[in-house]
Amino acid sequence: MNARIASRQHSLWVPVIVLAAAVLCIPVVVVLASLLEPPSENWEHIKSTLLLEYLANTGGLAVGVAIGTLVLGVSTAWLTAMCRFPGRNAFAWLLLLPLAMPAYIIAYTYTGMLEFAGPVQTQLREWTGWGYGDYYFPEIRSLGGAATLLSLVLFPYVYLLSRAAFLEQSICVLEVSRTLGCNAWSGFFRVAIPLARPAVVAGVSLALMETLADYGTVAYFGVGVFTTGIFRTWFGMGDATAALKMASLLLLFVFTLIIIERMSRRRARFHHTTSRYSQLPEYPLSGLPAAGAVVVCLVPVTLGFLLPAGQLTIWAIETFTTMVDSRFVELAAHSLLLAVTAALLSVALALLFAYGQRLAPSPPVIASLRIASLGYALPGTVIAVGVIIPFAWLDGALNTLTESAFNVSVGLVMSGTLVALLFAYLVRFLAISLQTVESGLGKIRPSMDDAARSLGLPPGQALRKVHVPLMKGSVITAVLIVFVDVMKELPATMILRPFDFNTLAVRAFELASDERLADSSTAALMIVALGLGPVLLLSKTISGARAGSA
Amino acid sequence: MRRLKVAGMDVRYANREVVHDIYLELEDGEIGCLLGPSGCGKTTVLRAIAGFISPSRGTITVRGEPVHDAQRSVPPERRDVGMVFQDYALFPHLNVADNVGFGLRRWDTVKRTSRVNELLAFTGMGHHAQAYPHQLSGGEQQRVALARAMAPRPSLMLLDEPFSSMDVELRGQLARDVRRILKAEEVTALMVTHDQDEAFAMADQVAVIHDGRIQQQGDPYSLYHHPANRLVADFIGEGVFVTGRITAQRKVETAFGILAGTPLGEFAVGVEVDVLVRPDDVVCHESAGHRAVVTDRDFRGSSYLYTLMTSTGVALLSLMPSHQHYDIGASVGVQFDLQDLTVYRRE
Repeated sequence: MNARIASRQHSLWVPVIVLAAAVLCIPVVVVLASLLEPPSENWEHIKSTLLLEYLANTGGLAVGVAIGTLVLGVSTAWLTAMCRFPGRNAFAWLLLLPLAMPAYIIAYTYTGMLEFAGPVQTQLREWTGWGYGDYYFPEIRSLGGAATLLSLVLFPYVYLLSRAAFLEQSICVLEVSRTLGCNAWSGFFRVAIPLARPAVVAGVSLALMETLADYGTVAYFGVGVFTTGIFRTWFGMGDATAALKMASLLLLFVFTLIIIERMSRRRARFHHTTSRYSQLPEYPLSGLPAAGAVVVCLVPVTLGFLLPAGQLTIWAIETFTTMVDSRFVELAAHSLLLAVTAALLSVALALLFAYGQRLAPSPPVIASLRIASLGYALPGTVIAVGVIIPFAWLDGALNTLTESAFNVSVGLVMSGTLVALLFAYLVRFLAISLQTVESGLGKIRPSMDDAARSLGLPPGQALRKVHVPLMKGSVITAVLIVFVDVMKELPATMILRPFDFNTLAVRAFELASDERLADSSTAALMIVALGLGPVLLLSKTISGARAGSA
Repeated sequence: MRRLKVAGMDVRYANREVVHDIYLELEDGEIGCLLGPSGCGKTTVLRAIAGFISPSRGTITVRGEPVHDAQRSVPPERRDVGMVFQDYALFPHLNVADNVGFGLRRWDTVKRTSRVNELLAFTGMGHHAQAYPHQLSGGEQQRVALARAMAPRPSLMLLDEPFSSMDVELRGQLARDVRRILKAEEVTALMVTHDQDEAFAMADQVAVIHDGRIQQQGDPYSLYHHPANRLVADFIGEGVFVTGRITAQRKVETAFGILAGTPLGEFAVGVEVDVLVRPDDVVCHESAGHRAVVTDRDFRGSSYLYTLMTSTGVALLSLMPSHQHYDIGASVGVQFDLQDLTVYRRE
């Protein structure tokens, strides 16, 4: 707004923000730069043997998850947004619960339930009297199994965005379609779905980004995709260059998804034709259709949350007396320490970015925000690889310096400590905190700042009396969301944690990989329980979204 | 005493001059209005007076104290200027009483409470003291915004399009209410609007702004009846231009005969001119000499606005009482009832 005052008072914002964004995009730059490097011997080998398999599996997984989340997400969104049936309001938020379930946890929970010695097959044999080899049972530890389980926990992205789109669709548009001869069903396919398409595409893109980023599920199921390939190349073959190359290929896929998502979101704005709100039609369902709607909503909630959470609870009751010991407390303390620190840092940085954009909006600042927000799409493995290489180089340079100057070696102060891990978390989760903080700040209109000033408050006081109380809610939300995401994070933590430093998520995964599924359940259940926090918050905002549209 | 004086003010945004050479003065207790189409720079003038933007040239003086000149620019919080914002900018986390008391933090509690109560009673918001902004209607929010800005008894009140988010039917009543409140508290105020009805209902003095320049200042009557130039004539009120030629001092020859009066400005005999004819200057009755056909009509309750086309191809507007009823296509007689002549040189 105020170019002259801005350039005088806020000149410091621009360099600080540009610098912060530059540091945050180091991992991406490092990974992308590897595209230009000459290939190593291993890379040639990988290219001729494994790459095709990785490509095919990644592609298969993506197609499976796209179909799965599309079907589950759109059907449940349409039913809860537009139809009236028993339990509709409860389903509206119950359908979000699978978001609290990390994919790697649901993966080994289902493995435990469905394997030969698990409760399902044991029961089956008891009923039928069959023995080993007498019957076919689908193998959950497969590409199809991974796609199914990922769909079960990722469909809420599609559900959330398409439900919001259905709710935003003006009743008028749907009524017009009815007056032009569409019945409820053809109105759905000819008007509602095309109008919601950008939102649906954006939701599927988000689900696919998570799919590409997934490490725990595919590693546990032994499906060779890019993330597991990066791990194998790095730790199995010890070839950092080849791992980087693979990471850069994965990034290209991710960038494609980002572009698709951004474009659909932009289109979604234009698709919102009128802003007239009125009661949605709410087709009342009864009898068989109502029962059908209940089943359609109940199945994903049960399979994606209730069933695995129940199994985890049973295991945890059986094992927690032996599992909860001083070592477990230490794990929990580590996780808490990391999550709290990362959440506070990330929100502090988000506040810096958001206020910088508000007070000194200029092309470099806006570009910096965009770049710094890319991290949400980056797989943890890619970030980890992109962090460890520059940090190791920095440690090397630092040690050479201190050795020549003081004849002492300071050790791996960057790459061997929590610094690297916290930095990776910042890169990965800044976008989430930034988005939350920005939306909070957006509600404080510039005229409120002006009003406070014209009522006699100097800028500092205006910040304290207007911004602090109004921003409190979104800052706490941002802290909570990042906190939970860090608690769940697996691949970056596995790669970047200091030697002998373990967290709940890593421990749960290690125990599960050692076939100690029941033993891992206490840690897993804790992660799921914490994950419920932001999901419940989210459910509160979506249920309030229409009632009192402010 | 002059409450507000703005002299020779320019404001630039990113090397583009948005307003140019603004001169404004308000006496104690006077209500002024900046009237102009959107994008004309009127809000910029207001924001410069409030101190939110810095003029590139000129001075601003409030109650004799310079708040902006070449040497200094007093920050908004020390200008003693209150403002009512277009979107009201009520603080959503504070209730009505706390919003109104927001600018009184230096007052002691007893005085603050009594001032807040006084204003709430005055604006008819007493029973909403504990309500939060989102629970109020638009009109109620506006009254809170007004009370909040008035609470610290500022030397000058600024109102930025205060009625723009209101229903059209409510605007007239609200404008009169606000004027009554401002006058009762003897507040000197400057308002910005694009709506001439609002301006005329609220203001003692109106300045018409176009393209960042003040085109004319004066009371509502003189703006309507003596617009200083075509821009003002076009912007304010309805009307048409009738071509003519100066035949003598104070005489213009037109297709409707010789019009006599006081043409604004000096014109030589023989100059081609346009005469502004307002709808209330054109009278229809059967015995009038010039014939015209009704091509359109607009029913306005107590009156009709007729669009007429003369046999010589001149379009006219005529405002007649609604019992004087003509159908479209009817032939009527027209005659001019012009008190003062507003005449511009033809371009």
